[in-house]
Amino acid sequence: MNPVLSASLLAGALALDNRSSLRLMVSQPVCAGLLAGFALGNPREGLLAGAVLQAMFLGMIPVRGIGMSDLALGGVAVSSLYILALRSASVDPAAKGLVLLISLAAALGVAAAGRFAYRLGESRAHVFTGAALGLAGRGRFALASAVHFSTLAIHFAVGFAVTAAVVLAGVPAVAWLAGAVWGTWAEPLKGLPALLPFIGAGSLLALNLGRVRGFLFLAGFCTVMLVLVFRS
Amino acid sequence: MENDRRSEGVWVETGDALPARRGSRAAFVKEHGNAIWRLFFIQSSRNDRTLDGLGFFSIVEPFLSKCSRPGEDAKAFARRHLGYFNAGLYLSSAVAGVVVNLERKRARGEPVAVERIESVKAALSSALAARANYFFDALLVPLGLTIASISAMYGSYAGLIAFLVLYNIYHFQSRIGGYCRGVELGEGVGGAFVARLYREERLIGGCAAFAAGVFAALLFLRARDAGGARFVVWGAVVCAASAALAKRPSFVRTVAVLAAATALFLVIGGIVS
Repeated sequence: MNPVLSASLLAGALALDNRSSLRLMVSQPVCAGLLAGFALGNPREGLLAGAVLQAMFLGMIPVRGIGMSDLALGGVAVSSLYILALRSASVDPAAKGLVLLISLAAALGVAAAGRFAYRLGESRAHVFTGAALGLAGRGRFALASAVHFSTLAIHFAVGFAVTAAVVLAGVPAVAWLAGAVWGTWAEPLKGLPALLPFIGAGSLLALNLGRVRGFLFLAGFCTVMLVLVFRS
Repeated sequence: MENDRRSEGVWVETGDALPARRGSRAAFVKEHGNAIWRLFFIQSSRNDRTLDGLGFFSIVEPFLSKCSRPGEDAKAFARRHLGYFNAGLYLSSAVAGVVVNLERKRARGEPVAVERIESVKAALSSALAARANYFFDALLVPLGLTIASISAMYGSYAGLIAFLVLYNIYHFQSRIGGYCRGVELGEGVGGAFVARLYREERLIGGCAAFAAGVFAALLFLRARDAGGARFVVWGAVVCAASAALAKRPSFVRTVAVLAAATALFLVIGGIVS
């Protein structure tokens, strides 16, 4: 199957999981990345890209009205761009770090845009309730219920369209950028996968600042260190 | 004593199956199957005015003919349940179950006022949502994702599978189990039910904190192997900055700034060395 179509179908399905409240959690970036990797024939690189995005957002929890970014679409976008751009002839395989950075930047944009689109949809979705009320008023209850389920098609379509557009436009752009910048500037970026997850570690630390949980966080940290000290 | 309390709708913790469920699982599924699959799409049409009102209606809609009293307008029933509804994701099913229970009692002619159903729906919505959201969003999901991330760092899928299994056990227990309990117990669903459902809350919270510590330690070790002391120091700086900025409203902006700073650090470091 065409890789753009595979990635877009997957994104549509994961948007359903994420936005329809099915919430099996297969839409988390680490899982979305792996699934995109399988769809595009490179699960290892898909898992890597998805895991880096996931690790950056580990401590993000939807409390105090903080809106959730659309990480489902972000996960598919980062893995698809990363895998397909690396496959491009103009990209040196040693430029992986740079390709990952550009793919992550695009995925962050997709995640933020997805959230914006969702908020916009929420502010307009009352028309569905209005239509359902009208149908219920005429005694057509099953149809009123069907209005609710019709929104599933919208979630799928948004995921599909956004990912198709991002992958179609993004792969050549990422490949061109990576080809143009590759050299002294890009080589050190191979250390990114080792450093970016610290962002998630910091937000996890913030989540566990209480007395008991702070102690357990420290216990986990020290246990690993002690094990390694004794092993060496 | 316990039988008296059960008849009042209080769930007594004996570990026994409840009378309504004994030997009637197939009948229950046959009767409620059409509502159960709908539970999983309740937030699909979420909007700013009625939130999940339309989703809630889609769940109770299969009971419309059974729950309307003879001679009473089914349209009034539909309009009542198309209004505002906000019970979070995980225990909205329990609220739906309670409403189905009360509406059916009312349809049988028992003295259950419409106002009573509305007030129970509103009260349970807020009480159950807060507890369930905290358990899932602040404890279980971070724990599972931390485990998945640790295993993914080493190229393994095992942690991811463990996360999906662990999460979905509680997830299905809350959504399908919550609905079933709501239908069986009616207004009796409440603190005891939620406490039992999430009795491992403290353990999960502790494990989440411990796993986060393990994750942080492994990151420092990977950073040392990848770039020596320079990487370790930068990792500590990023970690501290992220912890300080974690409660800002725009998490994406925080992540973007720290990722850009890390890329800049690597590029400058590469040029200097």
